[in-house]
Amino acid sequence: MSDKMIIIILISLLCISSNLILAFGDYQFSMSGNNKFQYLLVDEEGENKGKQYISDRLEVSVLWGPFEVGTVVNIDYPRWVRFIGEEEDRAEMSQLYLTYTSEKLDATGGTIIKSMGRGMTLHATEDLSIDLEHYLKGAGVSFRPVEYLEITGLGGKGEWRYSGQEDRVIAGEVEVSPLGMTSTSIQPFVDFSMSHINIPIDPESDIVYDQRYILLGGGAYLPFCEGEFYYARRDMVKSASPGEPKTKGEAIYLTANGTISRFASVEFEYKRYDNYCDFVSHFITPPNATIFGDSINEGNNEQGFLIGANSQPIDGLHLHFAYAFGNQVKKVEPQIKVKEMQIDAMVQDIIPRVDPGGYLEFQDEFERKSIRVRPFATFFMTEKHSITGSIEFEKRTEKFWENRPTFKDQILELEYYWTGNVSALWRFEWTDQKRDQMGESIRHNWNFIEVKYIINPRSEFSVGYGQLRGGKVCSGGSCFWESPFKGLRAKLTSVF
Amino acid sequence: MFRSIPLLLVILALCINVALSAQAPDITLKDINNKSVTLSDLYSENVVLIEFWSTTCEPCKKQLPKMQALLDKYGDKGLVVVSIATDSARMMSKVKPYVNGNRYTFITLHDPDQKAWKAFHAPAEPYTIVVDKGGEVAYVHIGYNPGDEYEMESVVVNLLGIEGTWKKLTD
Repeated sequence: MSDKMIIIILISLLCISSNLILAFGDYQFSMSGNNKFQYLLVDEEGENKGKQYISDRLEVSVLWGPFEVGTVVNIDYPRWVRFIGEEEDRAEMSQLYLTYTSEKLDATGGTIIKSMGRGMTLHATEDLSIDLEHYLKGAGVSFRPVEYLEITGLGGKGEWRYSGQEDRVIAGEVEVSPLGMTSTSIQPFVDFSMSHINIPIDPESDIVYDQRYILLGGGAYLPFCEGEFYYARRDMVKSASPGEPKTKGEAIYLTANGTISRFASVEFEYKRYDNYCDFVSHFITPPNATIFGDSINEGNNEQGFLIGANSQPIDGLHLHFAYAFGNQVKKVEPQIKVKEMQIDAMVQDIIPRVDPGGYLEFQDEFERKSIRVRPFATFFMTEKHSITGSIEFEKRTEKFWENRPTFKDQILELEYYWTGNVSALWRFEWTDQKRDQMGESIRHNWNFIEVKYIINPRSEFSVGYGQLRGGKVCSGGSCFWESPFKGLRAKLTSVF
Repeated sequence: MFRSIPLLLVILALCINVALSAQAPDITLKDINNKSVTLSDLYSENVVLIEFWSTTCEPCKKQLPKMQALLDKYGDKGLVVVSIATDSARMMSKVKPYVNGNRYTFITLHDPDQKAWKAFHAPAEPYTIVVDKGGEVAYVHIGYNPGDEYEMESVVVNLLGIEGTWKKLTD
């Protein structure tokens, strides 16, 4: 029996177990994680019949008083790599850490996940939603000598998954909230942080970028409004080659939010990033000030603002509006402008048995223009039986294609849900798009049905048949990335 | 070498497959007003309902009003509702306007560095945990579908030790 099959059987058995926490005096051992086992019973193209997909995450830790040592293991046979659209096998100990936690001092050795200065001086993270590991391996300390002061320092190495280079990072931050020890509703704060990031593009040839980021920020939280302002500078300490100029850059980011007499809230964001990041600045990710989280060039030459409002004018009616605009700080060809707008509405517990809602989105960027509408409604047959339906219309123009095609996508979804027992999903997507970005012809419809049995709150078993285009799929009440699929599959997922 | 490690971990887990306790993690995070909140301070005398969410998660946004309804109904009987926003440092400015605009009064904490996310071993959003008065995890739920709030309410009512019904359709 192969290792793979043993893992399948053992992990499947874990579905019936939960709360794997053992206490021995002062020691506590815990093990948790989640796993997904998928078996392709039939594949339309015949290539992958019998293929198994296993995706597991195991988190193990031992607590002893203020100390904790732990690890995270990721196993994927295979994993669909979203960014490059390929599959790869993975079995790796992705995190290993030792931490000490007390009232005044936190210390970590090993894997470090930390942001400083709103991500403008450091952004080491793990983003499970997009399957991106982007953390540091090193050591860090946070010290709180008094309640209103926190001093953090860290150093380590980190590799952005697809870059192949290992950056060396030293960073520190001082956060002061002078009234933090009081119960006053006015809470000013000051944030000073800096990082030094050495980026070995090609250490063999001594091609190295050496960057220094310094940020000063501050603001105040008041009962009905708040404001924050950050100013940051980037200095290139060492350029990649002797002849290359040592460029400098700067960043400005501010936010202002207010609540209008419990009727609505308004928000404003402004950004201006002038040569602040470049293509190797993976540990720096300034705030977006956009609606959809996209950014035209990730902080190199962009400025813009966002305005928004949220309101629940009457109980059960939730409204949201946002508009964002961005363009270049320095005008270069091709000129890039971003315009985005979103209107959301959600109704709950107003209309008997029906909760409707929907959104309208508009996005106009350099390479893409799209408008998307998605009305949805839930009909309650009883309090435990419901049907949710939605239909999405999207009209999109992809300008980066030579013939600049405009096409329409539609997605119809119907989901029956019996609380805590069974759900059934029918998803039908159709398009008049002829070819994908690579010029390859694509199918025009994807028809998929899936029935899910909820074994317990931590485990479920599903059988699905049809085709999935691949991408973000929301089913069973949570959203995740699905790889493209055609055929019949059985899937067992569990959290333990 | 790494191929054998997960196998060993799984075997180890099976060998000791006994659930003795599930103490809820103690974490200190800042709330949307920049004040520190320590979860163990809330566990001591209350039933605590925790929801992990983010401003980009649509099912989470459908669940939040239900959490507010539970707080409105059982807040004076010992229920505390805590929402933990997992928006990253670059997105977290959108959390407070969203919470205030929708008139949510539950405690909302920022978790941009995944401190609580990791401590609670959250697998996906939304992720709901109910902690009993002894500080132990009594219930977890992944995702949100319409009607899940009734299951959560029954857990809360049971832990609070009170009789309660919340039948929207028959009210």
